[in-house]
Formats: sequence, C-alpha cells, structure tokens
Amino acid sequence: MRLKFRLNGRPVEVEVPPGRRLLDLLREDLGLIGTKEGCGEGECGACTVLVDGKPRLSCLTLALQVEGKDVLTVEGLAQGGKLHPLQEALVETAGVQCGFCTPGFLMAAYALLLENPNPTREEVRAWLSGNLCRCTGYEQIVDAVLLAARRLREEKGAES
Amino acid sequence: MRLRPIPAVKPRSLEEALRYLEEGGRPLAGGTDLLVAIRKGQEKPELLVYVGELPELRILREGPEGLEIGAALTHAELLVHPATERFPILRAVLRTIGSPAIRAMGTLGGNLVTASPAGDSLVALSLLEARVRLVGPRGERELPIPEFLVGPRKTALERGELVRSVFLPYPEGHPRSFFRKVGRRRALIIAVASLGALVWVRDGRVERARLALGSVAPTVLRPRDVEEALVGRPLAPEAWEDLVPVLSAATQPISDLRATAEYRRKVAGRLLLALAEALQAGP
Amino acid sequence: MAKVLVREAARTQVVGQGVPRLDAEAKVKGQARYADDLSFPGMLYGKAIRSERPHARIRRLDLSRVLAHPKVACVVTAKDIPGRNCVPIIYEDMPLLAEEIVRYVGEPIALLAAETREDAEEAARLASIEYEDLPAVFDPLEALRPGAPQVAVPTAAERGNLFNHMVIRKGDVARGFAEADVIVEGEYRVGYQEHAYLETQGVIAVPEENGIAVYGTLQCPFYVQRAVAAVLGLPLSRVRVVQTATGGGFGGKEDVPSQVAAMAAVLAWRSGRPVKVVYDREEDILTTSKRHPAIVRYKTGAKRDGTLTAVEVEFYYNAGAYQTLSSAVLWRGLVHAAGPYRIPHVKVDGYSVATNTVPCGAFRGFGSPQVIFAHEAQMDELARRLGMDPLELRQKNALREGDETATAQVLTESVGLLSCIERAKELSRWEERKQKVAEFNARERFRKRGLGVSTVMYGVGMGAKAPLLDKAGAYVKLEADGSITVAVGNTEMGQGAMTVLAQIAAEALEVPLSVIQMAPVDTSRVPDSGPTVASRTTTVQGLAVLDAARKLKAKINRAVQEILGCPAFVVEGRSFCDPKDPRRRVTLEEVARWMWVHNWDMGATGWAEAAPVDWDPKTGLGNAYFVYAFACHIAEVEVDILTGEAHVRGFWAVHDSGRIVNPKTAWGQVAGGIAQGIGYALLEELQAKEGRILYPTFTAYHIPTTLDMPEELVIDFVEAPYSGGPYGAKGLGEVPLMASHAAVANAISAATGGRLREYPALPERVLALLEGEK
Repeated sequence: MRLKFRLNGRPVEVEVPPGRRLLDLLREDLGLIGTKEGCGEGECGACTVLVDGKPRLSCLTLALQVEGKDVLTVEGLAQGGKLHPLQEALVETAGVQCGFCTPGFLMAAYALLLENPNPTREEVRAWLSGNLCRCTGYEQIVDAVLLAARRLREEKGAES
Repeated sequence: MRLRPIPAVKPRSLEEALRYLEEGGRPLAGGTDLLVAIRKGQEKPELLVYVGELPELRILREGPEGLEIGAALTHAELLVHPATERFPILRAVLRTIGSPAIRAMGTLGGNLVTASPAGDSLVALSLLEARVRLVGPRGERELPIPEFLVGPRKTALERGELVRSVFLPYPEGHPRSFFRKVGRRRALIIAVASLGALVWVRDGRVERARLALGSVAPTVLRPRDVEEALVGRPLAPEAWEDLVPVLSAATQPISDLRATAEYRRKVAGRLLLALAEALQAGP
Repeated sequence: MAKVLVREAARTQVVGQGVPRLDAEAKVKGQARYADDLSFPGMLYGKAIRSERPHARIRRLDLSRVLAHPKVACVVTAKDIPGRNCVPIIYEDMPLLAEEIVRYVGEPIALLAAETREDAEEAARLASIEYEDLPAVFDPLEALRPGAPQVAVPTAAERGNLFNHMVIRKGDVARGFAEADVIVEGEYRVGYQEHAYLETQGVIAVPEENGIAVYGTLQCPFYVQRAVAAVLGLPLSRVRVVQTATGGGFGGKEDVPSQVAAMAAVLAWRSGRPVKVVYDREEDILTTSKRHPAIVRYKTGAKRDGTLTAVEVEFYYNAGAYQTLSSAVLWRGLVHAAGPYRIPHVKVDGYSVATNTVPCGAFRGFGSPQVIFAHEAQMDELARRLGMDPLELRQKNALREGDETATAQVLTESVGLLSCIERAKELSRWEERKQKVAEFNARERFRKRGLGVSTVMYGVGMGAKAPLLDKAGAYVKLEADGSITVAVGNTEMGQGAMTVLAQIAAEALEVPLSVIQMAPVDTSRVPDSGPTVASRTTTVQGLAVLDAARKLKAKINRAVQEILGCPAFVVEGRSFCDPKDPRRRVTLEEVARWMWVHNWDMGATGWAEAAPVDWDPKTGLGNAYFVYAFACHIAEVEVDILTGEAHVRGFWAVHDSGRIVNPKTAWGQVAGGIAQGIGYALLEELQAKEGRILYPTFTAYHIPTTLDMPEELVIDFVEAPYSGGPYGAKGLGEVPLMASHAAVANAISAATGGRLREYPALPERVLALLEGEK
C-alpha cells in the first residue's frame, strides 16, 4: 500500500506491505534505528513509540494501523539540536546504562508527561512498569522522569 | 521469529469489513493478542481485517439502562472517559492490564474474542452481567457473557461475525468494588488467579454479592452458591472462613507454566478473605 | 526515596566525580549503533539449523530443500569449515557444527545465509534431519552415576561426565565440628538464571581485502578474534573484531559471541558477502549460556558465642553439554564457598558435570551466587539457633585485615567488610526496624514482614585460575589540536567502563574530561587485553590507561618546559603557566601544535598485569585473588500469607570497592545488581524438561519491573582504598548481584518462619514455607 502518515512532525509517504510491522517500517525502510526490538511480542517495551500521543508497541503494530497518524520516535524528541528535558535528565541521573531500553523508556515517559505533567514517584513507577531494563534497577530512570517533569512544569510556568 | 508481512486490509465501513470476514478474514483491533499468536504460529490467518478504527466499533453511548461500549475502544480510552465512572469495577480491572502501551492498544472486543481464561477484563464484564452485541452476515444478535464465552479461547462467534459492542447495565445502588489479581510479579503478568467482586452492603452486612474469578476455570467463574451464602454475613474475614473451601471447590483449575492447579484452587478460596478484609477496612 | 551517600573528600579532580556518562547523549538520542543497527552492502542473513534432540547420532542430514530455496546464498556444514571445527574457549571440546553426535537441544548442525531474515528463517525450517536417539541425562547427580550415558567429550573431562572436581582442604573439619556447640546442615538448590540482556546476541562478519572484520555485541573482542581465526584457519592478524554498542552483557556476552561470530564468519567466508546473525529472543534464551543450576550442601559449626569453627561444602554445577567456561565458574564458586568469614577448618568439594543440556557459562557472580545463597542461609540458621542477631553473628566472624581466608590467603590491605556492616546497620536503622517489623507482624493478619541480611566478599580479577588473562593494554594519543584519544581493549557493555577509564585518563593527564575521546574497541588498536569480565576493568584496564596517560603526561610536561623555558609550571584548566609569571602561559592546544610541528611522538602505550597470585590445586590453598571487594546488604520483605506473594519493600546496600571513580555510575551498578538479585531470589524461573527449555520468552521468564523494586532503596559506599588499583579502586560490577539475592532469601525465611532452600521464592513456594514446610 501507499502509506501516508506523519513521522516526527514531517509528512511521510512510503510504499509498504500493509501487514508489515511498524518496527520494521521504521528501522529498515525508513532508517530510524533508534526504536529497538527486545522481544518481538510486547513484553519488554523497547519498541515503544507514540501514535497520536499514545504509547504503542511498534512490534505489535502493523503499517496500516498508522495510516494518517502522527508517529513520534526517539529521533523526534530533541528539537533544534537541543535535548528534550527527559533526555537531558536521563543523562544527568545516569539513568542510561547499556541504553538499549532507553528509547522505549523515553517514549513511555513522554506519553506519561503528556497525560500527567505532575506525577508522583509511585505514578511514574507504575507507568513505566511495561518497560523492562536489566541494567539500572530503574531508580535513576524514575529520578530522571521526576526531574524532567519538574523542569517542564517550571518552563511552562515561566512561559505563562 | 520474523514472519513475512501478513496480508491485511483496512476496510472503510462496517459493511466492507463484514464482507472480508465472510471470506475468512480475521478481525484485528489492538493486535496485542492476535499478532503475538501469529508470531508463535498458533494462529495462521490468511487475511487480517483491521477494524480498530471503524466508527461503528468506537461508539460510547450512555442510555437509560446502561452503557454501550464499542468493541474497538481501548482500555486506556475507557479508563479516562467520564462515562465509565459509574463502573468502578471496570476501571479497577482495566488499570491492572498489561502496561500503559498495552492498554492504549488492547480493546474490550479483542479480550472477548481471545476469550482467555485469564482475561482480566472478562472478570469485570462478568460481574457487570454485560451483554455482547454481535454483527454478522445474518444481522445482529446479543448474548450474555456466559453464553458468549463457551470455553477456554472459545466463543459463540460464528463465521463472519464480529463483536460490535458490549452493553453494561448500570448496577443498582452503590455496590463496593474489589479486584485482586495474583501473579508472579507485580506488573506485566498474566493472572495466576483473580477475584473480582461487587458487594452491596447494608448495616455492616452483605446484602448481595457478585463474585467472579479468573484463571481458575475454563472461563470466568461466577460461584453462585458462595454469592448466596455471603448474604447477611458481617464484613469480617473470620465470619467467612467456612466459605473458603466452598469457593475452592467451585473452581476447575489446570496446571500450567504459571502455577499448579492445587495452588490455584487454594488461593482462589483464600482471596475471599482478602475481599472480606478489604470490605472491613471500609471504602 | 533514592539517595546517594558518598563520603570522604578526595584530592582528585575528576576521579570521584559523578560525571555524566560519555555515551549517554548518543544513547538518549537513539543514535548509538547496536549490532542489528548496522548494515553492509550485499549483506546476507545467517541462521543456524539446530538439533531438536538432546542426545542423538545424526543419521542423515538432508539440506537439499534448503539449498533449493531461491533466496539461499550459502549453506555450510562441518566439512565446509575452512579451519578447525571448534569454538575454542577454555577447552576445545565444543564444535562449531555438530558432525556425528548432537549433545543438546539447540546445538548447531548446519548454517545458511539468505537474502533476508525472513528467507533465512523460512529456509532453516526446510532442513530434514534423521536422528538416532541416544540415552540422555539431564541431572548432574545422575550423570555422575556409573553407567550414565556419556555426554562429555572424553578429552575435556576428568572422568565420565565429571568435567572438573576442585577442592579446598584447610585445617581439619572433623576437629572443627568437634569444637562446635551448634551445627547446621542443609541442601540448597537453584535453577537457571537467564541474562535477559535487552539486546540479543548479534554479529556481522564482513570479508575484507586482507581477512575478515567482525562487528558485534560482545564483551571479549580478543576471545572472538581467536575463535574466528580458528574456524577460518587464519592468522590472528587477519581477523579484526570491532565492538558495537552493546545492550547489556552480565557475562552472557563473554563466551557466546565467539560462537555466534564463528557462525557468521564461516558463512561470510564461504559466500564472500557480509553476513549478519542476530538472534531473536527465543533463539537467545534457548541456545545461549545461563547461570549454572546447582545442588549445594553445607554443614557449618559454631561455638555458643557465634565463633565459626568449621564449614564443609559439597556442590554440583550442571554445566551442560560442553565445558565452555564451567571450570572457571566452578573455581570461583570454590574460592567463595566459605564466605567472607574467619573459619579455621574448611573442606570444599566442587563438581561441574556434563549433561545433555545447553552449556552454562558466565553470569555476574560467576559461580559464586549459588554458594552464597547457601552460606548466607547457613549463617541465618546459625543465628536463629544461637539466638543471635544475624548482623552481630556476621560482625563477629567477618574477615579483618591480617586475617586468613578459606584458601589461607592473608588479607594485607583494603578490607572494608566491618565498615560495610556498621554502615548498613546505621542506614537501615536496624534495631528500630526490627522492632517495627515485630509490631507489624503482631498486628496484621494476612501479611508478614521479615528482615534479611547478607555479607559477601568478591575476589577481583581472573584470580589464580587464569592469571594469563589478567592483563590489559592501552594507547593514549595527543592529537595535533590538543584533543586526546584513548584506545583500550576492554569493553563498554552498559556498566560505564568507558566513562570511568576516561576519568582515570583525564585525572592522570590533568586535563578536563571533555578533552578525552574513547576510541571504539577494535582488536587492531591495542594488544590482547584479556576479557571484560571479573569486575576487573576499572582496576586492570584502569592501570593500563594510567600507565599510558602518565607516559604521555611526561612528554607533555617536557614540551611545556621547553616552551615556557621554566622547570616547573602549574596547570589551570587547559593551560599551563609559569608560577613566577602567570602571564607566561601556553594552552594544551598550543602544546599539541608545538609537539606536532617538532615531530614529537605524541602517543604512549600502557600496559598492566594483575598483581601475582598463586594457588595449589591439591589443597586449594594460596593467594587466590590480588584483592577482594566486600558488601553488606539488608532487605525487608513483605509476604501475603493468603497467596504467598512476596515483595521487597526496603533495601540497604553498602559496598567496599575501594575508591569509587564515579559515584553515579557506581550507584547504578549497585541498583541494577539488586534488581537482578531480587529477580534471582523471587521471580526468575526457566522451566526445562528433558533438556528442553519450555517457554523461551519474556512472557514466561519474569525479570523485575519498576514495581518489583523496593520503595525504599539506599546505597552507600565505604572506601577502603587498594594500593594496587588506580587511585585506590577495586572491582564492583558483580558484587551487588552476589549479595542481594541472599539478603532477600533470608528475609523471606524470616517473614515466613520457614527456611527457603530453593530459588525462586515463587508464591507457591512461599506458601509452602508459611505452612510449615521447613
């Protein structure tokens, strides 16, 4: 099929079998290798992307399911060469170790802050429970999300 | 394993979708169950028919008798929609399913069609005495949950039929809701056993109760004898102890990778005490 | 709330600072390139055709349908291997491709390469193999019985299926037990633990003009180089191994990448095209190494006041069908079997045994967690029997400076165990917490809490079993513009090695960290630097970096002296200035330019080898490791007595790993190790039947999620500096996992009133403990 959708803010048109996994479309056809495959069956969250602002597992999403949608991947987070506050915070708290789960965590956390800009620690823990990490024990990731949330609120407060 | 892309279509209308289904297509909504089963080789559909965005399957209609929920609404959508506020048990259950991403993908219709004995949302639908509305080549029909779920991973769906919506009658009064899922870790699990309950309380005693258990029988279990035996009892675990073995005996569990049948049977009964404790602690 | 508590002010500038990881920015942008992120023109996808039987003779191998597949470019069987059909690890018993006999389910028999991943998977299913089943054995005790089916390749075994038997004989245990007032005994069992690194195994082999290059996710590039050279029959100089970003290792990418790379290399060599082999999760779980399942028997004696008198240990590791790393794993288990305690009489017998199961290998802790589970359970049982506080019992027996270990090694320095215990006690508010737990248990009907502790020691480095490997090289180069490139032979797998090594380089060179760039690890850049294992990278590779950096620093100093014309100068940021006339200054950029213009050698090589160790295999006595790291962990768990579900609520961990180079990454190492330990003790079960792993998926194999971590997590370091390490550093990586599971296990026992003797403590097992199964 001729698939049209928006990817990281830009319109994309690509010829793709409608039943191809979104993950393969992103990584192999469009060269966006930031989205990772950890298990291929929706149990690890490494392939999480945002579709119309909601988290989705790209290993369990077919190309035709994003027709006309807005897809955001880890490559779309930094704006104008500046890291997104979530990315910045993960660097600061050392919430990145091997980094393979990191894009998935970033996208899940991004979705959380869209829905709840002021989450508690328990809410962050609960929300991120679908993303597996084998390196960090999660604490520094949770710290990073709380730090970024605070900074985003401050930024917003400063703007208004 | 990486499969070749499966042939898939995205029909623009319900009629078009039904035509594909009649030709042997398999409906796809969130994909959280079906695509995993295909990858494992447990399902080999020739054509996937994406129904996740059909407007007819995405309605949410509040009527005088109850709420009609389109089969393709996602768990995440239901959790935040004000119309589900009248069904705290539904929300309590949906919150425990998978992860935020799984909840943003999975649908009630999908859970019904998968008909897993461990399907959490089926516990809520069973407690609420939901009715499943089907549409197919011979028109529409409506089935109560026990008639729709005919066995483990078996439903009353006929060839070409599609779950269109689920109707939830408003429960009378204000029952207390309870849901407890037992699993091998604290998130991202398939239930080893679960107990959901709606309990109407009056003057510190059970006036009426509905119980539903997951993962301990071929389909969701409603232990009517225990429900009846609870009537009139005070909200205290010690006053319910005698019903623990009765509830255990009502289960028909199997042993699988997650637990033995013996454990499931034992724990299913004991969850009654957790329910009593929660009721005793107050709303 | 998580807190970082690091004390002791340092006189260093960069070492000791929690600087951001050098690789973090690329990783948060999704730009880091892992194995599957690389492609090469004309690349094929490789796939193994594997044994479906645990033990069988291959009667007929029919690959005609595979060859007939239109997208298959190349098929390889044992006879097509240009070099030796062997994946060399410690022994050389494991073939790359089985020829006559298959010894485990999943053993590679043939290889193919096809145009796409899907084609390769499809073609692999077209192979037709006729087997003649042979009697098989899966349990190590059964495999040792007379008449058991012969699994082990005879040249790799001491006898029958006994790969290795190792001993420690110190003092006289009979006397020790005679002196004891209390003796406890127990048998403990553990199953597999799967690494579950998020990135599965993957390599790409690329034929080059002069040989072959291999890119991949791996810990030990020099192991891979050796394996590829062996199977291709090439000199090592024609095999170049480049590490890609590596998505977790934990030991799982120590030896296994040698096998994966050898497969890809043979296919690439035969087809003349680049070949990518990337496992999916199922293939990874089914066919790669895991932590050894074990049966461990202990007997420990103590006097009434808690003084330990003797310990007798017998343990059996199920090694799987081939040796791989089992002899080394067994040895570490042996040396660690008596724990971090003063025990005059020690007798240990460790056995690693061949069975028809997937070969087990390295996993963080490397043979020590299995015995630690047991020795810490024994300490707990002793404390219960003696009516002693479990921390006090450990304090009483903890190794101190000047003490002798179980292998009669005298600890001459850097023994921070007592400080760890004291600090853990303080941080957890131990006495108050014990009281609160007792009150909770008296009050609650359906929930019980328990506290558990563990203390461990860890021998840093390869130790006396493999001293030939405990070395590392480094190359440090000042570029003409004043930037600095550092090349090393040990790898970054997520643990933060590159950041720590760069900190050491920056410290020694007296330059800001931002000047340093770590080069991608490539076997052609530095001499064989041994493997990235055994928590040795900071210490041994760090010393090599220090050596190179100091040599380069001397050159820079000479250049500055010549430029400024003064014998002494001070360093201010990137500038050097004359202390007598601060206006006379020169920047690092200018110095570099000057050196370049004057044709100076701007590079320096560094080398390090671990301090000498020795060990007598007959008695098991000797200086097993050059230094030890220590830890004390405390866990608080809550169990639901209706369901048996357990949760770790609080965790307090204190480590002595000498000087901490980067407190933030060190904190993350400890937190991650605690998570893996919680998984090992509570959640992780890989069910197998007759050599077949039944459910090789993350749906069935449960590693901890965010919600399985304790709500209260406190981590601290006490620093007993090691004079032989860079800036006083010892190793850390493995220690947190080693200590954490045992503290959780003891907390489960305390909460249930039973004794956990088998991992994992799944709800059914906890319920049994609660119901009085002791």
